[in-house]
Amino acid sequence: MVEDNAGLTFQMTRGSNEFLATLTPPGSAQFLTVLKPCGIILPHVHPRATELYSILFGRG
Amino acid sequence: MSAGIAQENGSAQNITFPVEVGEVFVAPQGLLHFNHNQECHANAFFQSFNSNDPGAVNVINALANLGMANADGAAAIKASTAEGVMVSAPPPDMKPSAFGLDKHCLMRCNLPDTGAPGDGLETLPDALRVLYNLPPLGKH
Repeated sequence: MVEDNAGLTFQMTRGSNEFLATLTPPGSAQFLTVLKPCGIILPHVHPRATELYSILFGRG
Repeated sequence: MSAGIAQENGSAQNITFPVEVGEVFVAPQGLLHFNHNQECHANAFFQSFNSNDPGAVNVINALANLGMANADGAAAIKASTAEGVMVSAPPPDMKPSAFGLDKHCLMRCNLPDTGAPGDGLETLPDALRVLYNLPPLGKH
């Protein structure tokens, strides 16, 4: 779990000791993320993976 | 939430678009992208990668780490971007961060400069609270 005092509330991954009710196959990673009001995930690059964002809650 | 991708040099345009619940946004490997919650409440999403070690390079931190804080290009970025939307992007002497706050949005939402109080989890519906192993609403 990641906590940040800026935009992010927290991020939970299957690799942590927290429970995340999804199946993550080998060779992949998955995070369940809550972005606070007005929060920004600043511009970044993932050098070794393509990323899918699946929006679960909250308007765009 | 809005999302954006900066395409490679020579592309006609970079793409910024809204992403709604039930939709999926793809950030291809190696392309610069960002996400921005423009609403006055928290949102939640899955981030899925086709690698168990996707890595991440945050460009604003990377510029600072390269010692380009005083270079003309970095100054232009600060003028056009940092003072525009990403007002709270960390200055080079601060702890690097992958996350920021949109100060214009905070003003519009009547929230303090430091962001909304609390973690926003109280706004999550019960179906998502199960995923986070949180008690159902009203049963704390």
